Order: sequence, then C-alpha cells, then structure tokens
Amino acid sequence: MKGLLYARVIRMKKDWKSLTFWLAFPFLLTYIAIRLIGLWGEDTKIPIGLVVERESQLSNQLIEKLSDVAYLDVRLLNEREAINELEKHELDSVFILQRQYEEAIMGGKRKGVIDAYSSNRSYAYFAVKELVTSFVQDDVSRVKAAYEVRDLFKEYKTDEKWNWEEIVQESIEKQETQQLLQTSFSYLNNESGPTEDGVFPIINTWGIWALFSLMTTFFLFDWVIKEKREELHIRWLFTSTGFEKFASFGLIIYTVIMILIDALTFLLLSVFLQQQVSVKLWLSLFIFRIVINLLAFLFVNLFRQSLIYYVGSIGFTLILMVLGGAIIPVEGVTKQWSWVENLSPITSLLNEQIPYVWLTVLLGLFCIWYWKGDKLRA
Amino acid sequence: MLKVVDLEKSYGKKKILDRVSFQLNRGEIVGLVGENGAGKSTLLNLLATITRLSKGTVQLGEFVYGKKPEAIRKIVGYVPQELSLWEEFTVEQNMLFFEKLSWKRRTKEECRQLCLDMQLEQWKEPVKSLSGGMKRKLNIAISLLHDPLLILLDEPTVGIDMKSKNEIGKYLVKLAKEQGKIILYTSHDMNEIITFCDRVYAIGKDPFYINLLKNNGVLVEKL
Amino acid sequence: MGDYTLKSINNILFFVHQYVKQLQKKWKSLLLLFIFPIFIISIIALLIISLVQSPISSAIAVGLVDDDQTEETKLISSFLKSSFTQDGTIDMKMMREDEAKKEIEENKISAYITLPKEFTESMYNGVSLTIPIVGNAQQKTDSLLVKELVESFTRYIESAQANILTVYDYAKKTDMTDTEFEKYQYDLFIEFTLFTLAKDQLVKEGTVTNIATSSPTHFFTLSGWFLALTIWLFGFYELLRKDEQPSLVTRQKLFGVTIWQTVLARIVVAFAGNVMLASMTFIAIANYFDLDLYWIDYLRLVQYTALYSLVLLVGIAIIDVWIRSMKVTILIQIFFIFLVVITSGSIIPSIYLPLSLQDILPFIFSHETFNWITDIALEGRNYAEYNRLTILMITGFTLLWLSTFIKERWAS
Repeated sequence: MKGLLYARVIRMKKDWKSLTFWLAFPFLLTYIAIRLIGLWGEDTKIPIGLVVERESQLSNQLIEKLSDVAYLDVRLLNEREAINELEKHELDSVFILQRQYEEAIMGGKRKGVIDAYSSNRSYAYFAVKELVTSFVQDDVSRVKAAYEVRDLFKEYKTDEKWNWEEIVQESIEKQETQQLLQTSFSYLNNESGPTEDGVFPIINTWGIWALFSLMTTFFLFDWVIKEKREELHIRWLFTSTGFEKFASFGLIIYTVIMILIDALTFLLLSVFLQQQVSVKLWLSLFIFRIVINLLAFLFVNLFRQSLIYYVGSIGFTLILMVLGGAIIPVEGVTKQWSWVENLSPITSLLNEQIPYVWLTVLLGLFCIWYWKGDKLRA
Repeated sequence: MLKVVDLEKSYGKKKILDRVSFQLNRGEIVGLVGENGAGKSTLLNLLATITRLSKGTVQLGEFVYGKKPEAIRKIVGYVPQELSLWEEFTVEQNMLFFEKLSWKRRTKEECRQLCLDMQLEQWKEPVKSLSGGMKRKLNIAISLLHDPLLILLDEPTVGIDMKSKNEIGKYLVKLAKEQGKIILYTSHDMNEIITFCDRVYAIGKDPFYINLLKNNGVLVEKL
Repeated sequence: MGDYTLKSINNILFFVHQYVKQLQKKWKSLLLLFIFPIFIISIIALLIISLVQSPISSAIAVGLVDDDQTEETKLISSFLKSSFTQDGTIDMKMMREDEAKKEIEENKISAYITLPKEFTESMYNGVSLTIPIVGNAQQKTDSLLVKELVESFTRYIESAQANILTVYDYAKKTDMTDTEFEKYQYDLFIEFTLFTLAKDQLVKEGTVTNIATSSPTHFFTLSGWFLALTIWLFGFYELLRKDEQPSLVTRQKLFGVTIWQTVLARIVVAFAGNVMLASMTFIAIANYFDLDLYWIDYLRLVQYTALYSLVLLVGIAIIDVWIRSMKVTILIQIFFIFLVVITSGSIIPSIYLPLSLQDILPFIFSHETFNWITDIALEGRNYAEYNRLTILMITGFTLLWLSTFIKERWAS
C-alpha cells in the first residue's frame, strides 16, 4: 500500500503544476462564467419599439417608467418603422399607444388601449408585455379609485373636496412606501430557493460547475493512457501489483483529492456567489464525483491515443450535459418518459439526488475491467 | 537451472518454435542468435511468461511454467528491446518508482549502486536528456531491481556506443559469475557474443551464424 | 526562389495527399464526426420542443392552500383558479397544506401557493403580507414558471390594494356608518380584485409575420446547420492531427518540410471535406423546405461558407501553432469555437447579446456570415458583399504564416 502510494506520489509530483491548474479549473471557470452571465444580464437590454400615436401626460409617464427599467431599450418610433424593425427581428416586440390612450383610461375604458405585436422570434415578449400591462394597469386602477372616491363623495356627506391629483398621489405613495404584498419562494424541505439571475433564471450554477468538472475529470484522467502505453506494458507485468491494481489505487487517490477540492469549491461558490448548499446537495455531489471519476476511468481505458481521447471526451461531456438537462431542462421529456432522467448523472446532481443506476452500472463495469485485466495478465 | 523440453509456439497455423529443447545453468551467460524472424524474441517472451507456450514444458528451479506466472515473474528479469522508461522522469525517479512496485525492497542507495555498477552516474538527470547508451543501462537496471535469478535480455545493446556495450557486457558477466545468475541474451553483434558468452544457441534456418561462431571457436548449438 | 516556391507547393500537395489518405483510413471517425452534431442538435431541438409544447394533459399542476378560510379568500381562490386555468397552462386545485406537501413529494404538483392565515385582515388594514410559494425541486422549470406568474399576479394585486386602501381612507372621511363601511370594504375589495384579474383586456395582441421567415423552423434548422458546420470544421482539423515523434519531425525538416506547409495542407483538406459535407446537407435542407433559391444564391452561399470555414480554420490553426500542450490547445480551441458560435447570432439572436458586444458584432466574422446566409437563404437577399470577410481571411492567413515562421525560428 505504501509502495503504491509512494509510486503514485512520484507520478503526481512530476505534473503538480498541471494537476493544480486542472483541479482549480472548475471553480475558476464556474465563478467567471456566472459573473460573466451576470454582467451579460446587466448589459443586455431588450429592444422594444414604442409607438405613441398622440402624446399625452399618461403616455409620457408610461414612456418614463419603461425607460427606467434597466433591461429595456425603449425606442420611440412610428408604426411603420417599428413593425418593419420587428419583422427584421431587430426589435423584440412593439407596443402601440393609441390616439385615444389618455382619454380612454381617464374615462375608465381600458379595453384594448394598447396594441402589442410580437414576431415568431420574440423571446422576451411575454415578460415585457406583463411589465407594460402592469404599468398601465397601475394607471387604470388609480383612475378607478379616483372615480370611486368621487362616487363616494356624491353619495355620502363630506367636507372634503374631490381632488384627482391628491387621490392618485396617495395611491402612488401607498404603493411605493408600503410593501403591501410580497412572495417568498422555496423548494420543499429547503431553506430557500434559487437566487434570481436577472434575465436568466434558469441558469444553474451547479450545472455550469458540472460541465467544467466533467471536462476536467476527463482531461485529468489522461494519466491512464500515459501509464498504459505500449512501451511500459512489459514493466507492469514484472511488478508486484500489476497495472490494474496500480491504476485502481490511482483512481481512489484522485477521487479522494477531487472530493476534497469539490468540497472547497462548493464552499467558495456558496460564499462568492451566494449559492445555497444543502445537506442533500453535499451527498449528491459526493456520489456524483465517484460516478464521474469511475466513468472517466472506464472511458479512458477505451483509448490508446491522448488526442482522440481528449476530443472524444469533449463530445461525451457535451452529450452528458445535454441529456442531463444542464443546457436545456429535460423536464418536458421526463414528464412523459421518466427513464430519461437516468441517461446522464448530471440530472441527479441538478435534482440533488443520487444516481443509483449510474453508480451500480459503473461499479459493475469496473469489476469486470479489473477481473478481465487480471485474467489477461496470467 | 532452466530446463526447456520440446517447446512449441504457434500463432494460428504458423509455427514459430518447433520442439525446442535446451538447458541453462546458474552462473552461465548464454547468447541466442538467429536471423530476423527466427523466433528469438518469441522464445524470450515465452521464458518471461509474457506469452503462453503452445506445447512443451519449461521449468525454472522448482517452478513449472503454465500454472502461476506471477510466481515465476518474481524470479525472472526481462529487459525489452524497446526502451521501457518514464522519459519525463529522472533516473532516480524511474528507479524509485519501479522499486516501490517491485517484489523486493531496496534502499535509495542500493538503487543508485545498481546504476553505478553499470557506470550510469547521471542519477538526477531526466531520461530524455540521456544518451542512448545511458538509457539502455537504465532499461537494464530497472529489470534487475527485484534481484531475479533468470535474466532475459532482448538486444540490450542495440544502437549504442562500444564503450557502453563493453560496460554492459562486463556487468552481465559479473552478475553471472559472482552472483550465480542465469543470463540469456540475444544480439546481432557477434563481437559481443564472442566476447561475453560462455556458449551460444542458434535459432532459425540460416546456418550463417552457426558457421561464423564455430569459425571463431565459440561453442554453438542449434535449437 | 522559384525552386523554393515549387518545392513548397510540392510539399503542400504531398501532405494534402497524405492527409486525404489519413482521412480515408479514419472513415469510422469521420462517420462519427458527421453524426455527432446532428445527434446533439436533434436532442436539443427535442428538449426545446417538448418544453415549449404543452398538451392539455400536461398543464402545470399547482396547489392552492387557503389558511385564512374567509369569504374573501374563498372568492379570491375561485377567481385565481378560473383565471389561471383559463388558458390551460395551469391546473390549480384547492387542497390543505399537508395534502400539498404530500403531492409535491409524490411529484404530482409543481408547486403550491398559500394564502396565509391573516390574509384578509392584512389586506383590509394595509399590513405587509408575504405569500409563500413552495416549489417542487423535481420540476424546477415549472416551479419557476409558477413563481413568475404568481409574482406578476401579486404585483397587480398590490397595486390594486394600494388603491383600495386609498379609497378606504376617503370612505372613512365620509359619514358612512360602521356597518355600511364594513360592507363597503368587502364589496370594494371584491370589485377591485375582479377588475384586476381582467387586466388582460388592456392589451390587444397581434403577431407580425415576415413571409420569408414565417416559419421559425426554417431559421432554427439553418442555425443548426451552421452549428454543425462549425463542429465539423473543428472535428476535421483534429482528425488530421498526428502525434509525431520528434525524430520524424526532424527527418521531415531535413527534407525541407516546414510547419507552414503541413498546417496549410491540413487546412486545405479540412476545408474541402467540410465544404462537401456542408453543401450536401444544405442542399438536403433546401430541398426539404423547398427554399426558393437560384444557382447564384447557391454560389453566394458556398462563397460565404468557404470564407467562414477558412477564417475559422485559420483561428484554430494559430492556437495550434502557439500552444504546446495538447490539452490546453484543445481547451482554448473549444472556447474559441464557443465564442464564435455565441456571437454568430445563430443560438441567441444578437439583439439579446450584451450591448457592449453588439457594437463590435458587425466586425465578427461568424455574425457577418450567419446574417448573410440567413438573408440569402431565407429572405431572398439579392446581392452579396465579401470584402470584410476576404480581408479577414487574408489577414488570418498572414498571421498564421508569421506564427509558423516565428515558431520555426524559435525552435532552431
């Protein structure tokens, strides 16, 4: 055992710089990626076209409110220009405030006061439409309140004079100063849910980490190819351990080191990126690490040349990422066919579960590899 | 003693070795010659338990080939024709790496002495910067870490300078005479064979080697 | 000089021939290379389609828990239920909290919303209130969708509530009796809630369709083809790579072989192979979608594909020349390709890219190429302009030549 450890240390010491780089790689890249995505979100402005058929106080207010929204790039255009740009997909959506906009709202007639247009490539349309609707609804609702008060004053005796401005102002103040109604979100049995990522709520930090972690693991395990090469084949026959035992021990050593690094990574990510890490996630991570190390170990044994292995492992990583739902969620498919969840160990990580199927199959394959190798030696 | 009786090896229908029989005693250094493709490397591979025999019996001391190759490998040292080294390591790292995985424990000084015995002094040098001769010496030294009884060398001095050949040859003689090892090695260099071997086995159809060696007064036998 | 040039060309042709033979030997890998991007893109497409299409049977199941159990919350619950269920995306059911938790554990619902105990009281008195939404970790996307919808709904209710409270304040100033006020509170509350729920009447929706791009399938298929083309280019280049022994490299050097010759030969073979694959697949797509293209359009498309391929290959080759470690080379090449694809606008339309990036997009070759290709193939654009891409290609090749020259000097 000591001999195996010492021999492995000699190998690892030689490449310590490369090893350190690849071990730090998942954390660094995850951190950079999340920060860049955040910056992207802050720097992205969804271009919308706003057409005002006739300027009014209410329309100006709406323009101001929309212009204040950080992620919108409001372009004031005429209808023809706006529709033209929308057709060319240079705008996400177009909103037209009709000629009678102010009058309609002031008169309590809110039906169809805005025409909204989208194209078949308007990704943000629903979110923007909701925003525009909510701003207009605010005004409509205040108008209703004002008229309600007027009717009240008509029906009941009061010394107060009906003042439209005052009523609207009071309503605005109440809405702005009192946090009247809020929501909180969490997953069952968790303390809190995902952090909002601005424009990209479905970006999962652990999914991104899984991508870089998988890639690194495959790249790191090229030591198997180097140690298995033809020239050294003879040497292994004349050792007390043989290649299989030495390589398996190497697998264990690398797994232990990588689990420690993963633990550190998760801690750092939870601190720097304010990511929640539950006990379930820790366990899921621990098993995930064992699974991908086993996977990489078995995969690399299929190759003799490093280059083909590197390229193959990039492809394999991409397939696992796609099937695991790290790029596009797989829920649409798993609703109908739940077995799809087992196609990639990443799904389990993202769902904070244990990939039992993967673990069992890989352990089985590993035993076959170990036993077969032994037989070949004899 | 190594005793080989009616050894046969075939690859499919092609018979490479046909009823080969011979014996090697302790303290002997025996050469193996023959034309390319005659079966020298095949024979060495069989004796090193790298490949299995098709027919025949081989016995080394109390061990009979066929049942437990691991037990035999503990007392056989095989020096491959291809350099089998960690090019990116130093001589020291190569020796220590294989020592750790070897059956026999040796101290760092003992490993170093093994190299020095063959005039390999560049202990801290990376292998890729060594000359061909030095690399060959290291290739041999690693195979001797577990102090084997039978040492098989497949063209150990190919492509190296005369001085290094000489040093290696003298060292092998020393191993045989002073430590009682059984040494069998193949070579195309007849000078080397004539100088260092006690006797020679010739394999293959071409009588060239037999005639040449006999003319130089070497004890040669056809396998 | 003339001799040298002739020898150089001879060497390049020789290596082109060698690389072609190498590709022929690696036909299995070539097949795998061809299938791989198609496989990945098909899966991504399948996932997107399944996510976006929601048949009636798979409306998002959501639970609604009413802890307050007042007439007001009962009314709100039924309004919420009918409002959300109207368009078929949400299937809302009333249930108790323990039932809701169980349904999440059994993966039967995506989330449940709770109207807390003091809901009505807080609404009437303008006290701050939080509506908890509990999601199902196994249905994250649906949970988040519910969260977004409820948050949006809450914003409306909050705005309505501010107005309700304002009216209450004025109502208190009148000579309404307490009983009348209580009834008035209730009636107003319900009226405003109903009014708010009917907010969708505000907007009249329409969709603009450009005849040429009326089917997003056309666009996305072209995007997929562009992505596949990029992956094939990378794959071809890597397939042609050989781990050569230093001794063999030295021997080749003595024969007058330079790095430039071998790299150029590789680019030529990768380019030719890729143009073949890309053309075949594009013609298949054009036929399948019955695209209205003339031979001049095909010619232009080939030219753009060719220029794009060469610039990309040159980029990959420059990285190859400078970086020694194979792993790091491949990693950097992957990042390069990723950036090229992201900035092309084929995956994420350029209007959603960061503003700071949008300023330089016209100068990015992938963006320019993809725009031209979609314009010609889908929007019937009648002319083409290659200046920028050609200049970039020439610059790229010059940089590549310089790189190989400097590297060889360094090495000797």
